[in-house]
Amino acid sequence: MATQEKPASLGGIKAPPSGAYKIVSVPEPHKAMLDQYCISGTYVGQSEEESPWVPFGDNAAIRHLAFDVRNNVYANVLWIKSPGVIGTHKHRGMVWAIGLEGTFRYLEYDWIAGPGDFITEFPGHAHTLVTDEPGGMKAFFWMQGANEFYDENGNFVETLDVWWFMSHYENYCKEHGLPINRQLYL
Amino acid sequence: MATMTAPPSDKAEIVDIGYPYREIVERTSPGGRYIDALTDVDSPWVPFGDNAAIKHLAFDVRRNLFSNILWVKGPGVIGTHFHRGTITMVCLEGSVRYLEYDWVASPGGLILEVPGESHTLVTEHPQGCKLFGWMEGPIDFYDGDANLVETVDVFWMINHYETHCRDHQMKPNPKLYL
Repeated sequence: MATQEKPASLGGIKAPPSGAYKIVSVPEPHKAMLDQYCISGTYVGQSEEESPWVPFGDNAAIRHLAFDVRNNVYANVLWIKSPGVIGTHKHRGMVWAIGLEGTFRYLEYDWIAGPGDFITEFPGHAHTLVTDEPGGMKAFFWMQGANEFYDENGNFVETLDVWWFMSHYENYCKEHGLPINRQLYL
Repeated sequence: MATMTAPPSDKAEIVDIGYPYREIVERTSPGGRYIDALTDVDSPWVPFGDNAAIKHLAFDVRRNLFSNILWVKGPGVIGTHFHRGTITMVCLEGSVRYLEYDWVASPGGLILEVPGESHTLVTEHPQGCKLFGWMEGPIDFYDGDANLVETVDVFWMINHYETHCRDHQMKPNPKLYL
């Protein structure tokens, strides 16, 4: 690479260096490669046409937003409709979540997550999600890897991962004659 | 923008690239490290059944990642197991294949595995095989009747290593923990 002139104060930016309300053409030496191989980002709006609420038991539903089979990553909104529980499950990958509506907590921890609150969970933790809100909760989850579900006696029931979430979505679409939204597949 | 066609510097000296956040990196990063994988200095062979052993090289509990060398000492099998993460392996010695696929890995060969596949590792080589692996957990191990026996992940690997260390009065090597 040709030596580039160093900015006067490396590491000194205090604000985005451009405020121009226009698309700025940025240098791209490998444009042909990007044109051929670069994966498009996705957009999934709020409508149920784009992704429906898929029942997860009687009191909960999942709105699937993304499936990444290469990384075993899946993103969705979990909705628990009234006070209730998603029973104890153990993660073997990482979890990121932001509360959207109502509140939820894990019986294992002392915080309560409300709208805008952010949480993470690391591999190896088992926890029990509850909402005590009359109106239940909604939260956005971004998860990686295996998610093991247990019954109330601690018996292992099933491991959920990207394949389960995809199957959950696709089976619902099939049963209701809905088209599969390719935007969900990264 | 210019493109790079060869390494842009051949100076055998450290060039200060002026990275503005170096102090933060030094304060917060676990840092890269070198682990001697050829000898037992950094990590011993830990038996994995009678015919195999594992040399643990790295544990990353944040991403459920682990690296090791699997040594199958003679013709043998690592029974059917199911991956939920991504696996990168290089065959170092001997040869190895999976009953599910039509290739045979020989030294230098690269094996890539992706989430959602189960397979059965077999070596028919008289000296077995050695495989370097960089793996993302978990891995579900089944018995010969397709019963799930255990889900193995970075914590199983750490326990496997530390139990051996304890049994042999060795101090766990902090270099293996990212």
